[in-house]
Amino acid sequence: MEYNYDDVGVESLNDETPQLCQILYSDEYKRLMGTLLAMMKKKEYSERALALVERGIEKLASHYTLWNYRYNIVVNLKKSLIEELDWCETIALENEKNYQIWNYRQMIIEKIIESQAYPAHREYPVMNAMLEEDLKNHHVWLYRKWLVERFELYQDAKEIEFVNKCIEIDIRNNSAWTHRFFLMSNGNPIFQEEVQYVKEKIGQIPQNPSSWNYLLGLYKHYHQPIEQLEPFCLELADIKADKIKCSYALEMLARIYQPAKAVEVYKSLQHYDPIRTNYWNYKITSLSSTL
Amino acid sequence: MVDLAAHNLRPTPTDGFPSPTSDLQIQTENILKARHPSIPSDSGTSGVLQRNSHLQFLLRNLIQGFPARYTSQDASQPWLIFWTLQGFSVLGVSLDERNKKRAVETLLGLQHPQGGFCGGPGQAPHLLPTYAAICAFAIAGGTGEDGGWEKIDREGMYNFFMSLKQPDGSFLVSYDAEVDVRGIYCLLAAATLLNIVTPELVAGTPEFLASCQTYEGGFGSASFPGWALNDDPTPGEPLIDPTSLRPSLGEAHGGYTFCAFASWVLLLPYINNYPTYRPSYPKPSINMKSLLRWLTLMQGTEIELGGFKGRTNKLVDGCYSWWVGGAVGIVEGLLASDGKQSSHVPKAEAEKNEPEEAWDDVDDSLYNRQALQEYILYAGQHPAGGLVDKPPKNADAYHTLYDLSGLSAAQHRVIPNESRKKELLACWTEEELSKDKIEPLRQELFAFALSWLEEEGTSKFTGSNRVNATHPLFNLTVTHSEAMMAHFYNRKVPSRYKASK
Repeated sequence: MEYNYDDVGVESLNDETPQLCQILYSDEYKRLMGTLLAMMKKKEYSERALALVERGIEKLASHYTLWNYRYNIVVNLKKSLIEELDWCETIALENEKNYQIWNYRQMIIEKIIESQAYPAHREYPVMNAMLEEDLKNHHVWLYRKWLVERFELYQDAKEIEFVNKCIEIDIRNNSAWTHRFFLMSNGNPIFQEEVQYVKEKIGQIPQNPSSWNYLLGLYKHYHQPIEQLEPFCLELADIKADKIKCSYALEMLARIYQPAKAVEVYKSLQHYDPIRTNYWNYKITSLSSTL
Repeated sequence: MVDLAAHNLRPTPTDGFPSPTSDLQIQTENILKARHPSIPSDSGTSGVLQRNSHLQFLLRNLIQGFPARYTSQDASQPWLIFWTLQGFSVLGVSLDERNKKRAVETLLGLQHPQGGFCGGPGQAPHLLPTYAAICAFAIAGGTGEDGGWEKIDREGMYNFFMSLKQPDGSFLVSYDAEVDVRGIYCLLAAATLLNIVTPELVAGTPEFLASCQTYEGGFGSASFPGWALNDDPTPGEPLIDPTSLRPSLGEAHGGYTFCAFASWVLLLPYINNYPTYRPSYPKPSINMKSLLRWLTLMQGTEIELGGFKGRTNKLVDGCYSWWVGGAVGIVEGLLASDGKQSSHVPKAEAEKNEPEEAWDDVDDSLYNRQALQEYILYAGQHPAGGLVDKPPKNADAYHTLYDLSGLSAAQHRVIPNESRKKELLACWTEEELSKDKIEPLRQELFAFALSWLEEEGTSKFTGSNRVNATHPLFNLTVTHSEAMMAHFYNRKVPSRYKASK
């Protein structure tokens, strides 16, 4: 439907006085955003405002004030919140790096929950479509964590299945490992199974910081002694035979051996991971200060 | 023939098991390898900072404006100003009076009538543009009629900040918006510069920040509020029980890590001097060891020219030179002031002012700051001016500043100076301190923030590549930070030049 906005007026974006760092907007953008700012000022909550906000957000999804405005219009006009989520989906797919969409989606879902149940699984298609584009999309993974927390999906079979699949697709996807840690550390304690799982993954690909950080994280979270990992690490970093498949195994050994026996291992790390020579040096210095 | 092995340009091993991450990694390594200082290149910048072309880039943006593709920054206008002005500062260029005046007028047009700064005129106030605007004021503004500092509505800003405060000690970035440690950093940096920090404003915030540290050691964007809520709240205190474990939300990330950690450090005077809000609650703490480990692990290897990544198993990007490299600098500062890392031995006076053509071998910083500089100089510079994420990307205002700030952090060691801190503390009389019960907090915040000074004789750069030092907690020069804080804390700051020993 075509609406008329002739009565609204157009606010000037920024070009009245000589400005620094001015953005050279197109005339079309100036007219669109200028009209929106004018309507916002008058707090106009109407169908025509909704239609124009849609165009505004399509032009610039990071315009946080427009999202606020849209929310107020939707609530005031009592629009269908489910339809709002569907609309939001199309915007998300076109704006991979956007912050506002996901917060807006949460607000709409919270609003829905005030009066009716909302099935969390309804959120999977949009997240999957987004992750298909970029398996490490930070915003989507954040949103997924919110969803898990909000709907208590820590033990949900689909969730763990999903994360398994992501790691299968890309064993180096740290976002997937982080999500796995999030599920495991807040759900049922299953320390032994997880250690087994991550050891297998490290066995496949030793030089993977994501899996090593996960392993170390598990031991810390469950307060387990890392000394248990010595034989496992020695398989990947046989210090005596100088057969080093993996610098992270060496680092873990240094951790296990500190203080006294760690010096040699840190020296070896200076050879196998030379960009961090200063850091390994610092580790050696801190060892001697605690001796 | 260049001996690759000698330069250790080994590709990151795939262990015979490629994946999307390693495919992308290899592509990037091949691009970067071609820029390595040891590889002869005809396109390259030969490791010389192209000062003039970067200044031209900044000047064009400042005066002629940003091309239409920057319409994407329509809700971040104060950032465009800050990135540009601070770029000039790092390159050692100050604005003329006329442009300063125009900058101040532009910034004042972005102030919201109820306090705080907006992404653009007519937009809602937001924490992120508020930081950018205040820092831009520190560079271009001043105390006089045209200086604009007196026109910053500090009371309105304080009320705006308080209206965003959440029961768990965090802050929304704007009304009806998300919680995110970037916003908290922006709030704390602005509040510290403007002298509007109160115990009420920051109660519970250190605990919140600590809860954002992830199992990897870096920080995520937030944590869940629901877990922290106290069953038995006392009126007037934050609702959180800091002893409860709050799951951190998100993956350790360079930008969030800088923001959370710099926030934490800005709050140290509060954390150290104020009791927890219940005697039974432990002092909040963060794990510095795992933080430092994560930060140093973000440095790419030699084949990546020693640039920094923003997340585990992601690609290097010039902007993390500041967010991650700069954060290592903050760790170094804290270690130095704890006496845990030996101070650098200053070079002989004569040697100090002579730039060297080659790197000397001594580098006792915690990461490889020579390699990081090489990343920025060999891979970060766009031939047409401005700096980039990585080749073959285009230059933009954001990367130009954060590559330059990262270069600065890699060149200069800016750390707390104890004798300077004593001088700054002495800017208060006993009478002033007893007049108001939060005056001692103001004094500590002021003295601590401004005690960060460049350690003499420790800068590291080659040829004509020196850029200005920048304050690790604000990303402003020490001079700009000092002038603004002196004004808003109403102190006469003793000259730095006789103080530093």
